[in-house]
Amino acid sequence: MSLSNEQKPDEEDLVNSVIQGNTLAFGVIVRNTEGLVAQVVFRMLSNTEDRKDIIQEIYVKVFRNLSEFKFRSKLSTWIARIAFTTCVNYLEKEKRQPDSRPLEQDEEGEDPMGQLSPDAKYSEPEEHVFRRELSSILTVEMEKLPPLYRMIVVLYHQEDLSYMDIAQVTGLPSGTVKSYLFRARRKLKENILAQYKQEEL
Amino acid sequence: MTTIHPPDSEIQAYSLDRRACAPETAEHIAQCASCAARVMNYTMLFSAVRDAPKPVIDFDVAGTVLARLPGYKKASGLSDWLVYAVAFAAIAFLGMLAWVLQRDLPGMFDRAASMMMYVLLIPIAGILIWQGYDVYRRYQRQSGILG
Repeated sequence: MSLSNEQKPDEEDLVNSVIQGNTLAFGVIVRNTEGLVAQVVFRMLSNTEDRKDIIQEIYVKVFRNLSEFKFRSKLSTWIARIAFTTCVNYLEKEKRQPDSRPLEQDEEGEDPMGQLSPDAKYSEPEEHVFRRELSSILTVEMEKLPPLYRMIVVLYHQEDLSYMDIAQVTGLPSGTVKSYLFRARRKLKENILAQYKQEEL
Repeated sequence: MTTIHPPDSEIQAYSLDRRACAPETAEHIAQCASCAARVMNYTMLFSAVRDAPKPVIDFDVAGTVLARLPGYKKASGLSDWLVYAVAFAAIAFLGMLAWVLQRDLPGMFDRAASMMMYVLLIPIAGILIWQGYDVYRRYQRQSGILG
């Protein structure tokens, strides 16, 4: 069994401490990973009332199964995997299948929304306006993405997880993760551009 | 410069890391306003996603989860020790009082000072009863977690 390259020595010490009964060390693990867990839970579950219970359930599972963690991945990735599967199980239990249907797949290279006119160049004031409006439009359009795509986008761009890390979290092949990420980004861009042009009119 | 516009996947890859793209792709984008605009759109999108507010958990996750774990012992604070000290002192005081006044105890309740005794004894009894109930409640909670 080989340790992952990014295994921090203190991470192993923390895990061993918890296994030996040090629950305060577990508190450290919780604080180090709650941001990532929040990303998974908040993006997968729209129901805000259940998030608190789900988060607690995730960490109770982590505590009970920590002795089975073999350091084949980063601890945070392993915990994120538990968070993801807990969310999926919750959605299935609530009869709400996690919407992981693929976004419409267009032929590579085609941009259904059309590109900007060949000579389009943003003048500085226009670009500044676009940036300010982008964040508000982005929030709305992100919510329209299927939960799995939404989660993958933030894990990559906000949490800086690699394709391999995201693959370990979701249980999907890394090629599939890459494909989903590509489609989600394109969908976001298309919808945002459409929204922006609509507001301009 | 190649006249074939790169597919969206390459535009995205270029927006993320220009150095990782094929030289011909970079050359085309540098000379094609349309593709440069596509790159800019993606660059701004990625930047906006990265800068978007992250979700925040608004409760003490570690504390809440630790309290649910079996065998978890919350570190006793100063207030807990103070209450135990007061309870012990009250019991010791009562015991000492009873020993000192053992001969006069039966007659004390007949005198006017008996009211003072009630004023003293009732709050002490209340504290002891509350402490006993608190210990019982903790035992019930721990039993529930383990069960």
